[in-house]
Amino acid sequence: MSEPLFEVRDVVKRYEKEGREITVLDKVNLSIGLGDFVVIVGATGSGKTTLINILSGLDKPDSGKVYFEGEDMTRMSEEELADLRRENMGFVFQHFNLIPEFTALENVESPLYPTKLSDREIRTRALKVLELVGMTHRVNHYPDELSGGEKQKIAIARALITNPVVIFADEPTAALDPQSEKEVIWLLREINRKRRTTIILATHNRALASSTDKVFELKNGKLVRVSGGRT
Amino acid sequence: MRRRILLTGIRIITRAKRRAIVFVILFTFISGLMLFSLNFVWDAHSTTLLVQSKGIILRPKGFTYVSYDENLEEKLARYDDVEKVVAVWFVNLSELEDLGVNAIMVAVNPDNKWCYVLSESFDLSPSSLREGDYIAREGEIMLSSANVLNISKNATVSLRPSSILKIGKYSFHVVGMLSEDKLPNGGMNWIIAHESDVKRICEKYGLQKYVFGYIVIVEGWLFSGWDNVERVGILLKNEYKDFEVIYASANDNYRLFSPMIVLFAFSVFGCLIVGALFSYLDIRLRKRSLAILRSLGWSTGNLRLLTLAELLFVTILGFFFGLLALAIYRLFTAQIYVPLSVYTVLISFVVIMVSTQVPGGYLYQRSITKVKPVDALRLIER
Repeated sequence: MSEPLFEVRDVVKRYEKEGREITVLDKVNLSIGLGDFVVIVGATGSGKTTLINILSGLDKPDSGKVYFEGEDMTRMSEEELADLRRENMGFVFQHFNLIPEFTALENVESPLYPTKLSDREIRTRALKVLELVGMTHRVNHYPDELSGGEKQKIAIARALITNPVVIFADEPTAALDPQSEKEVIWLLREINRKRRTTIILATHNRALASSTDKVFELKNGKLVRVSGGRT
Repeated sequence: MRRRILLTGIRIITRAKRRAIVFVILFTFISGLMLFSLNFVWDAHSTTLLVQSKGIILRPKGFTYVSYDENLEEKLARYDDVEKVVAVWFVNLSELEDLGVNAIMVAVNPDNKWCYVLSESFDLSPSSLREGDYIAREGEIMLSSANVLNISKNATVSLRPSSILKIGKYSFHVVGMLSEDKLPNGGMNWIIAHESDVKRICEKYGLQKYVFGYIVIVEGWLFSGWDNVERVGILLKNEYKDFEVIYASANDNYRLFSPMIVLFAFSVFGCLIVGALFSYLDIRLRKRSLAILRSLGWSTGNLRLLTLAELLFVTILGFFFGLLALAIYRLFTAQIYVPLSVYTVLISFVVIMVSTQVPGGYLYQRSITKVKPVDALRLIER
């Protein structure tokens, strides 16, 4: 078996809330391979976002280890993690997190601004991913001129521009209408199928998972396998 | 990559219209104040106030003028501690009726224009210019603002800037008008011309040269050259007994100098405050955007460059508007003409840049490293 993309070992994360310590992730173990479509389900506040933040290096665990392609992420500096995210990871958030001062096109291009790629190369890549998500007709619009579904498609295009090996989608459909929800999930599955991009989808809606996905459930800080994977 | 980030910063601030406009106005005001104060302190000092700080005037005793002695000018220039000697000399064109112009023609050298101040009522420096420009080259002249010149006993001609005056075979272009009250009265017509032109007319028509006096500028820093001024003054008094030695230093000018220094200090302080305020608001209002960019893989250095580009753009734009505002102010309301030198513009620019970017950069440095994407993303979710 090839080396997993992510290897999570005994990760613990605690928060303090109103003077009480809450264990959000309690000795979580997880292995994710390249090309997997992973669905993490759980109720609101169950720790899905915390797990995604730790997997992406946006947050650090209190204890335990997270390996990405065999490298220990918990020992990396902030700048090393920033490089790792830019080169390997894409993000799709519930609240889209588009930069309001940027047009749709600039939002998609923004992860590549601090790179050595030429302006032309960045523009070509951006138009290509915008075409993939079917948003070429809205390139010059600002986020506040777009619908929720359109914003999420732009966010997906932005996640794709760096050709990431993994896309983290944290409740990507929670703020969308049913039609947009369908379109976004279909798009993520297409990306997973055609590009072999690993998708890690966190959602409270169990119905979004399909039979081929690796589904895990977070409950009381514990990660439990539901189908298709191993913890 | 840096260029792209800088341009992105500029793009962001131009889209945040209200904030950009408010801060450009603030920086315009501050830049205008700084340019105005430095212009006065710096440039005025290179004209009238410089002479009044470091100048000694040698005037013939009992006479308003005497024959011009070139040797005397050279002798004065050879003294230790003497930085410069300028003779205020002239020819009387009416001595030669054939020329058809009844006027005193004073020779000035545009390079020494800041020196031509003999007294309050005899000021040929740019400070006394009321209209047009100061002479910059040969063939240009300035006239008294009465602008009516006797061209013969019974004929006059009215001249304005851009008029042409013919004296013998020479043509002169009128470029400026000097204030009447800055020239000695007595119903004289005054033509102020380039030294080379006056010499040429002198040689051509054999006119006698006269001198109103010699201006001696001594070595030393402004406001601290008094010892030198006194030493040279005493020397001149002992050596040239037929001359009156006048110390040009006038304490009155300190009264104008001090408020300008306060104004300058105020504008530097304003830069520090407005620069810091801009950075503070920028980070506060855009914490979310900065965090998103951080989560997308932008380094803290990239974010610092982005935010500094915004501040830099607003500051530079404000500075240019400040420059424009000063030019407009000078055009319509200024009572004293003090030309704005390149040094003043450059120094103001450097001071403004440093005093805005330093506190701004410090705040950005402190705050951006604190922007943890995960905290900001949590903030968005709330």
